[in-house]
Amino acid sequence: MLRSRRATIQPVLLKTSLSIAALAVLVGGCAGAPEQDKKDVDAGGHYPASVTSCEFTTTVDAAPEHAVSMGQGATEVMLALGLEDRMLGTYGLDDAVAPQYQKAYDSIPVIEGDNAPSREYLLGKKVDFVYGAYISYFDEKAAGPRDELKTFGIDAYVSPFSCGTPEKSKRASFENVWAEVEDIATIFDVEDRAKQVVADQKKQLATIQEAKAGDGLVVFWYDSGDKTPYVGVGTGAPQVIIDTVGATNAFADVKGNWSDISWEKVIKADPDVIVFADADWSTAEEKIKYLENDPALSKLRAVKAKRYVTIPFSETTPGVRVLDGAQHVSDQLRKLEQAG
Amino acid sequence: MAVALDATTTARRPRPSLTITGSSIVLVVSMVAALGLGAVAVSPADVVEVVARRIGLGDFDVSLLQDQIVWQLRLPRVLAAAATGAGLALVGAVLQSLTRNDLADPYLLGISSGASVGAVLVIVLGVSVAGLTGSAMLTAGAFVGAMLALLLVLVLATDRTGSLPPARTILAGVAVGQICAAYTAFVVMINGDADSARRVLSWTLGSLAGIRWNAAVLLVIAALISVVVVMAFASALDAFAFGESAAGSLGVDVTRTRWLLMVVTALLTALLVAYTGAIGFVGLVVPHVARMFVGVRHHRLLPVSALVGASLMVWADTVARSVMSGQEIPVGVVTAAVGAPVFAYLLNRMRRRS
Amino acid sequence: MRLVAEGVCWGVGGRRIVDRVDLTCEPGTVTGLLGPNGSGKTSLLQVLAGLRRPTQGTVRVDHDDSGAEHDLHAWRPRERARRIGVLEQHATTGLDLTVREVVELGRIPHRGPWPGQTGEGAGAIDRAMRIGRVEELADRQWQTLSGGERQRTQLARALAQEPDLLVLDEPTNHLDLGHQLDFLRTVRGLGMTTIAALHDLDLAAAYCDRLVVMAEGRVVAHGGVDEVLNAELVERVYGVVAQVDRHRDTGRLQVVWHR
Repeated sequence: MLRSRRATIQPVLLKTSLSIAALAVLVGGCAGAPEQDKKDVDAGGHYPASVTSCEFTTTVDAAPEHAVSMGQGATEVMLALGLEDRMLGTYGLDDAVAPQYQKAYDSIPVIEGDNAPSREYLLGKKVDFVYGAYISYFDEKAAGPRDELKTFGIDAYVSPFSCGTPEKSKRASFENVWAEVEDIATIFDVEDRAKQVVADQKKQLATIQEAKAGDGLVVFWYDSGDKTPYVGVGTGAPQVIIDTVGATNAFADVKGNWSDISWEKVIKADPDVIVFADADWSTAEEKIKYLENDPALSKLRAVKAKRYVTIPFSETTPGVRVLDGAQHVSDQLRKLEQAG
Repeated sequence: MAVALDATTTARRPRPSLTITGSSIVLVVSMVAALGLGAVAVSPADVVEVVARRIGLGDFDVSLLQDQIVWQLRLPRVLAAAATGAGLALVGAVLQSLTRNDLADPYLLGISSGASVGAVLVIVLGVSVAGLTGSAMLTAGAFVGAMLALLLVLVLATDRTGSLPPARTILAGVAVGQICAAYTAFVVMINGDADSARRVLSWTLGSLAGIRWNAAVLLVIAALISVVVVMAFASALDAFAFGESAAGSLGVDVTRTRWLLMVVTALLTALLVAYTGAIGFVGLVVPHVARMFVGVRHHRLLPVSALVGASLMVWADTVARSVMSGQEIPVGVVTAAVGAPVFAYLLNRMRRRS
Repeated sequence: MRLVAEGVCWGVGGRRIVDRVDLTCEPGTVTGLLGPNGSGKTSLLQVLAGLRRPTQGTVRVDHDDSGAEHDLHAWRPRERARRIGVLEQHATTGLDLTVREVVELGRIPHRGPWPGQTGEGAGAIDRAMRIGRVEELADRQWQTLSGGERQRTQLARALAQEPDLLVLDEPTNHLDLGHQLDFLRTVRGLGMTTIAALHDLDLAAAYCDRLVVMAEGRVVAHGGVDEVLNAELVERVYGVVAQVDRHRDTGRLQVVWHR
């Protein structure tokens, strides 16, 4: 009799205590997100540091240690500042990084996949800083909005050239490129490196501008498209490059960074030189083939004389590579001139 | 059951021969005008001189620029527009009579949705076959997609006796169309980015940019052949007025006629869509407009539909490439902007009448 | 034209809807086809009109009264449409047609592939409209016609085909009495071989030369009006107790039903 009573009490007790324990764990778990390891507050007074981009102010309490860059422009800014040791991963290349960054790039793990890293991924890897080249990296399906990331303890910064609409974004210019580099330098407390990068770029820029390799030339900047070309126009990085080499953009009067242009207008402009942006999804070779095989377009002066300049796509979007783009355009224009 | 769209008890229409002549003249004038309009201004006199010189009427003084623009860029495009408009309107008229459904249009048999699948595979997934790149691959992919969708619809729609009953055909077309649309959306959302989504949408809305002489000649020949073939069935189409049983009693081989007409119109539509995208409203609305002017006898309805459709498309394409400087709007947007109000007007007349 | 059906069967999905029907329509006679709903009348008419192939049996016609018989179903559709005019139960269209345009449809079997060729037969159209008594309605829209006017228009259309045989499927449905009588009087006056499915026994008695009665796909009686129409048949086929009398004044047979 006694045994059976004990036998019935013990399972009940066990179950009850297990339930209570489970409840406690649950309740304890619901007490809120676990506390972040508090970073040491920088005694030097540099932190907290704030920068603002695309209507969001990023404030960091200490230099991030586990950063992720999304988009080639962001990756290259970080590498230009020598921050590879603080980086956990990179994502989203359009084409090869510039040769001077290759070694540093290879030392950082590459995040694979067709879709941008999601919030879950970033949390799982314990990322503390996310730098995106385009605001689409902060869509709901990707990393999520920057203010939400902050609540998870992840600081975020988006390139001011890509805030979503042309009105919100900064105009393409070297000054704005250097300002972005300085922003990142502020976050990581490497301002002296930024100064060096800017100084080097300024020197190189002055040389290119002096050479005036494009003086007197009308340029047609052919980015992509066949039935209707997508063309670098009035205010984007293509225009910056064209201005730098001293040439004239055939479509400088069209508003925007790139725009669809009717082939009729291209024929009317009959440019001296065609600059091709070479990308995986729209190679320079394809575009050249299209022009040379088209009954109307093959009659353009620049096509008949094959006065072509080709630069990689990554040098045609606002970022640290624009200078390389200007350099390569200048060099190729020079070669064309010598060839006569 | 379809409802008549004319508002009078005693028909008062202009003489049919007048309408056919009139619409032919309108088409020619439209084409000439379209050659003079575009991103670069060319005067009518220069247009005429360029064409005259090219067809060997004499040695006129035209600049290379004008020759390039008018002869190489615009004329093929205008011809292709005429062929596309004529073809779509013709197909719409035939299908509306065959299925006895006023809302039938060229895409009844799932052609445009099948073509979209082909297009999306090329644009988003970069599918390509040896040698073909860019728009040539897009055209080929769209055509193949359209043909596969057509095949599926025909298999689903054929009943035990090998006939293509209208109701079943429409349902099969809707079903296949929905499947294709769902798959297209799936591919775009999972594998596409904003840019490719935009390109898919742009293709779907249709465009005549990039048509050069070889494509234009092909489309014109295809449209002309189709008109001739379909006209041979004009009487047979008349016979369908009271249904297929009545058509049979009037001596029409219903099954054979339906198969032939559906396949011919589907092939033409697939070819047009492959080159120009899925341009809407022309095939739906133009036959109704034509009926208002020349009645329902097909030996007049078919040519007038073709002529009116051709003119409409020539103008729609001209607007599409001229109205916004520096940018082309898809021609399907223009045809919808014109077609929808016209359709609403027709529906209103129908409502007032009944 | 003489029409001879022998052993005609037709069915779908394993079911026999027309079961071994034999009948003969002599030239110039009006044959009434009677029977309750579902007895297979419409299906039989479709076979006799050449619109459906019998699964068994033959339908032969002697279209020039020469004695030479041709298999109806061996004819090509156009040939058949020039010989046989069919009126279906319901003629509906969503199109905007005038009466004249509807009648013109009857010329389709005669038209060549290109419009404007001979065969348009304006003469045939006018005559058909005159006989059908729809001349004054020529420009009226089909959608505005009454039931009786529509039937006459369809008859004119069938006559425009210049047929030798008329096949009518319940042509007097939805017509009021006056129009029913008009229509049948017109048909009878044509002198053309006609077979018509009718549901009104009195009318059938009045306007037909011979009657064929069907039940469940089979012919259960055929012959002259007096032979066929009697109380026993009415009860057997329709399940109605009735008396079949000859009216004192008109001399016509009448079916008077009891409850």
